[in-house]
Amino acid sequence: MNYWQKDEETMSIDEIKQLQLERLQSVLYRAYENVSFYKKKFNESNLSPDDCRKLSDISKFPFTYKNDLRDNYPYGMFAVPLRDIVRIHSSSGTTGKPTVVGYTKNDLENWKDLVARIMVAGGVSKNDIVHIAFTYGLFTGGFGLHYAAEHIGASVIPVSSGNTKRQIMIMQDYRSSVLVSTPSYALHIAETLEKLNLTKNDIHLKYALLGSEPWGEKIREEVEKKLGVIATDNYGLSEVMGPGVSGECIYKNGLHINEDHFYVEIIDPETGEVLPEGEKGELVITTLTREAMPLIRYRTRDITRLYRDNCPCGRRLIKMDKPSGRTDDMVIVNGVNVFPTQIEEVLKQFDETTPHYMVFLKKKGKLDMLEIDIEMTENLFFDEMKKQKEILEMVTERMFNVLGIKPKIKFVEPKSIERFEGKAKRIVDLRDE
Amino acid sequence: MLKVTSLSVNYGFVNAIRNVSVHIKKGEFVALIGSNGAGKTTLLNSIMGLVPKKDGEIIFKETDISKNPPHSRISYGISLVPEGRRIFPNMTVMENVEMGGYSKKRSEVVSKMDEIFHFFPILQERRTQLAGMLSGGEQQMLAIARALISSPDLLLMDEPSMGLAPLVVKEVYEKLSMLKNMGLTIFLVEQNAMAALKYADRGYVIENGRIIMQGKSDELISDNEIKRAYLGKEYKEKWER
Repeated sequence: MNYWQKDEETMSIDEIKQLQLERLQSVLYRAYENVSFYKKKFNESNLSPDDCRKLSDISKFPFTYKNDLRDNYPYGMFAVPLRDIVRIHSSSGTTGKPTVVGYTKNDLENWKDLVARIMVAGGVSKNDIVHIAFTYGLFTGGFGLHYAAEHIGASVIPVSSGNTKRQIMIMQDYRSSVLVSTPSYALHIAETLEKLNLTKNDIHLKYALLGSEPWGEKIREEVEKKLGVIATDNYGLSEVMGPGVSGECIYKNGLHINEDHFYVEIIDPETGEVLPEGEKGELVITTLTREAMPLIRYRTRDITRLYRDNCPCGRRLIKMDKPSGRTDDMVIVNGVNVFPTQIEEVLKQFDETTPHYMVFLKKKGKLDMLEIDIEMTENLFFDEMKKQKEILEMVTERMFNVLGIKPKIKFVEPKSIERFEGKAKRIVDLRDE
Repeated sequence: MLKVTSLSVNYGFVNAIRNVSVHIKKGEFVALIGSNGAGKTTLLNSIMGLVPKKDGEIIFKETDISKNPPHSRISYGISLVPEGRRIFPNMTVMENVEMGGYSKKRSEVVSKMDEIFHFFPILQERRTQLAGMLSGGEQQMLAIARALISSPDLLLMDEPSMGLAPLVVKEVYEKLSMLKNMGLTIFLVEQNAMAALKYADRGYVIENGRIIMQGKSDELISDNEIKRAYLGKEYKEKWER
C-alpha cells in the first residue's frame, strides 16, 4: 500500500490526539496574539487560549464565519507580516468583498504534502502524467493539485478548463494517465469522447481525482465505466487552504481527513452544539498548522458525518462522508459556487428589473446550466422589444461578471413569479431529473 | 516515550509555564527553543520533579510520574544535565561521573563507566584531574557523562551551548547526535535556536510560558516567527490597513 507520509497517515488515535492538542494550543495562542480579530473575539467571550486544556475545550471558543473573512478584507485575518506571505488566493467576490487567503512558505510546503497524500491515496505515483483540467487563477483547485503532482514527481499538464476536443487530443497524444477535474467535466469529456466515436481504449487514463462539487455514486459509475478509471473524491475549501483537507483512497468508502493539520467537529447548525462522532451535521474546521491565516472553528456550511473505521488502505485518519448538502443556500454550478445573494446584488443595479426571480438548475448534456427567470417592471414590459433585448444583454453580462458563469436569463411578465411568505425558495434544482 | 499534556507551573502568583503540551518519541532528538525567561528551564525542572506542577500530566513510558519525587524519576530512566553544567570542581573527573550513579549498584557503575570513558576519550585522559581544571567544553562533556552513568532512556539537557565557543558548541552537539544514533532519546532546551535545530529532529518554540509553534527542525529554521521568538523581537510590521 502506498502512502505519501506514512507516519502521519497511520498514526494511532493516542498519538494523533496528543499532536492535535499540542498544535491546537499553539494555534490558539498565535491567533490570539497576532490576529486582532481573534483577540477581540476571545476577549468578548471572556476566553483566553489558556482555557484550552483538552481537545474538547475547543467547543467553548467562538465560530468563525465566511463573513468575518469579508469584514476583515483584505489582510485582516493574517497572522504574519505581509512579507512572510508568498502566495495569495481569493474568491472572485465581484459583489461585496471577496475572501482573501494567504500562505507562507511553510504553508505551501504543507499544502503540497497534504494534497500529495490524497493523490497518492487515489492511486497517483511519480510515473503518472497528470492532466489538470481545473481553472487556474485565483481558485485554489488548479494550483493545489498542480504543485502536489509535481511534488510527487509526476508529469503535470496544466491544461486548465475548456476546449474539450483539444483536451481529448492531449489525452490521446500526451498519454495523460490521471485526470483532475470536476465530476461534471469528467462526464462531459466522456460524452465528447463518444461523439468523436472514441472509447476509453483510445485514451490512457487510469485514475480520476474529482472534486470541487458534490457528486454521487451514479456519476462515479459512469465516469469509471466510460473513461476506464478509478475515480476518487477529494474535498477542501479555499478558506482553510484549498484541496487537501480530505480525500478518498482507492477503496472509495469515505474521505480520509488530514486531521493532523485540521481539527474537525460536527455541529448542529441551528444550536451550534457539538454532536457526537457519527452524527450528521455541519462540518467545522480549525486549522492546526497554518501560519499565514489560522482559522478557529470555521463554519464550512457543508453537511456530513465523521467516523472512524478500519480502512483496508491502512490509514487511521478520521473519515467524513461525501458532503450531502449545505446549511446555506449556496449551489454549485459546474464547480463554481453561486449564492442567491449574488443574483440579488446584480438585480439591485438595474431599475428595469424587480427583485423577483427564480433560478433553475438544469443539465445540458453532462454540464450544468443556470437559468434565471426575472420579472420585468411594468415600464420595461410595455417598452419596445429592442430596449428589452438590450437590458437582457446587460443583465446577462453583469451576472456573468459576478457569478463567474454565464446564465441563461429570461424576462418574464410582471407579477408572474410566485411570492413567498416566509423563507423564499428561489432555487429549483432539476439536475437529477 | 514522554508525553506532557497541559502542564502549568506557578512561582507564587507568576505563571512560569501555562498549558504546555509536548511529546517525545523513543529515539527522537527534540529541542525546545525560546528566549530568556520563556519557561524552558521550568519545563525541564518540572519533568524532573524539581518544581511542583500546578496542573497537567507528565506521562513517561505510560506512567504518570508527575507526583513522583526526582530521585524516583531517575530510576524510571530520566536524567538531567542542568544549566551551567553544575559539576563539582573540587572532585576529580571520575568522582564526578560516579556521583551520577549513586543510586545504582557499584558493579553497574563500573561497567558503564568504561563505556562512557570510551565514548569521551578526553575525560578518560583527564580522569584523575580536578573537574574545575577542565575547559568549558570538557566540563559540558563531563556533565553529560555524569547524566549517562545512570543509563537513562531519556536525556534532558538545559542549554548545552551556554557559555561555550561556537566550535565547542558544535563538538557538544555532535556528541549528542552520536548518542541519538546509539538509541538515546534526547530532549533539550536551548536559546541557541540555530545550533539546536541543526541537530534536532523536531522542535517546539516557547514564548511567555506557552508553546506557540512546533514542527520539523527544517521548517522551524526557515520561519520568521522563530527568529522573532528567539531574538525576542516584537516586529509586527503588518500591512497597514
